[in-house]
Amino acid sequence: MFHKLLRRFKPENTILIYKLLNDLLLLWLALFVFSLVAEGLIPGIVSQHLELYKIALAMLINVVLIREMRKEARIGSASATDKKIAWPLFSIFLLLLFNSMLKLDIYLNLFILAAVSTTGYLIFKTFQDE
Amino acid sequence: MWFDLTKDVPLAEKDYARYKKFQTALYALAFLLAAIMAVRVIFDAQNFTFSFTNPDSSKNSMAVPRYQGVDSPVENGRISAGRDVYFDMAATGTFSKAVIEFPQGQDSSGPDSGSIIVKKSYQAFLYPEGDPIGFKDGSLLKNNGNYYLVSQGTLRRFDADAVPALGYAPDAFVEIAPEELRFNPAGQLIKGDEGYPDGSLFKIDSDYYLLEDARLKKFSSEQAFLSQYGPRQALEKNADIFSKYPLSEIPIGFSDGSLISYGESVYVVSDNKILPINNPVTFLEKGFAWEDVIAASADEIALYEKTKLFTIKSVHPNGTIFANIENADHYMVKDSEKHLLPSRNIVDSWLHHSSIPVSEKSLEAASQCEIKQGFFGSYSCEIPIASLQQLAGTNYEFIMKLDDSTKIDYLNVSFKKDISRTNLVAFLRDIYNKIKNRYVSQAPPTL
Repeated sequence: MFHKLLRRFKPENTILIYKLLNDLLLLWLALFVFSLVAEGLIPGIVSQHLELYKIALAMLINVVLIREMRKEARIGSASATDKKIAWPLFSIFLLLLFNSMLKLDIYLNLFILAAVSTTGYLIFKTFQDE
Repeated sequence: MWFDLTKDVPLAEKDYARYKKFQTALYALAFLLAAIMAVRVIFDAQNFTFSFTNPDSSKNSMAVPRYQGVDSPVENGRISAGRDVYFDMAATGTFSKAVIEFPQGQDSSGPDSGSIIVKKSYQAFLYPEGDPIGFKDGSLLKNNGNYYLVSQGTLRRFDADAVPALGYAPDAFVEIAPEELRFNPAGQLIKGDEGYPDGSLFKIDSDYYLLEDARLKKFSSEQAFLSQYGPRQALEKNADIFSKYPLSEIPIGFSDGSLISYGESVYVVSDNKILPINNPVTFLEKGFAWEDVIAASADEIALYEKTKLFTIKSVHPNGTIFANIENADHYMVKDSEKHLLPSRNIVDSWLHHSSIPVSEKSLEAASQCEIKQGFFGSYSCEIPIASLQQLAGTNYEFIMKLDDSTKIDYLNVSFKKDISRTNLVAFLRDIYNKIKNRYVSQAPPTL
């Protein structure tokens, strides 16, 4: 049904919507990361007004739409990993993790961070090799 | 070069120009929504509701509306004409106005008119005033050459030679005015040959004891004793006294209203129970002071029954002492009443830590509004509360009076902030304090 709806669009309009959905996904991501950081600093500051699961749900719907439109418009997927954005995101992830374990002993906190980073890196390498 | 996340997906020049326009609109809309969201976060409203049709619902965020007195709730939303209805809630923040709303009842017509007044303080300070309280048990007092001990609430005078016979030092007694004697009823005379009366305090080796029912109850620690009495009130004795007064198995802990800590937790002591304070914001908003927190041992914590969390919505428990900043009057909370401690000496007999500052002005109705009917049949009343923001306390008490008997299904109260520089500064200060509380160690004292 969704594909039937998409087929009513002219191909150039489908591509235009696809491009806009990518922009929208960036905005959702920015909102999600900002909300996570704000929640990490002051729990409840965002979630009192907007539950984070709603942003996550919107992102999921956005990703599904992008995937379907790419199929419909026969756009090839850009599979290259953008390391420029991966490293800042990974750093934010580590900071959030450190923040969530703030009450732990500092050395235990750093040890867990190191273990998580190493595990994450090895998993990433494994998938990249495949 | 135009910002494009999908450069590898080309569009014809005409369509690309369209994309640029839509993209600009999308980002502009996102920034607009972000700005609206920021305004909502910074100048946030706090909403409270109570459903009379579902009074046990967990969604009810205010206490049960009631008539005068805590034990007379409004049943089924039926509000009698001309009677004051009280409803309380704890709201933190700097608010400009409160909007009270309720719908027209299904089986009754609404009121023709009515009014609501508001007070802001701590809920326990808004309790009705009970009888004044006299000196605490164990107090040693003297007046006009007579010596007294307060025992089981009564003022017991020592016989002429009983003071030296029992080993008391005259300078351990506090000189009081004659009018201070009337707040404790007179008790039996204390005679030197009859032994020590109940309420006597002893220091045996380095431990403190209270005599009760001819048995010595041991204080759990020196700090527990000092939370209740001054060091000079205890009579030094050796262990021989246990042959006359056996040791009771029941130990004595801290005074009601004391703040004790164990690990990272801080508790309020009241009625042989401890209430864990849920976070530093509650601690500060409730008027407590960090320097009053006493480090307790695990054994001392184990003496108490741990009860529900003490949150921003909780009422100060029995034993809390409020100090009026305008006239230095002190009040003690006891059994849903506040009781005046009528003199400085009486205050000193009870108070061994900081009192909680309150303002006399908070007892006066500071603001008022008239209830009006809206377009859709519901009633509302908008009451300015900016002038109350400087008053100590987290509790707002609304008192509503309707001219006609009415049945209502629910009651909503919404606290709102004006968009102003003052509120922005207050928000930023609040954020700063929250971050400081979270990241800068304010650990309570530990053993």
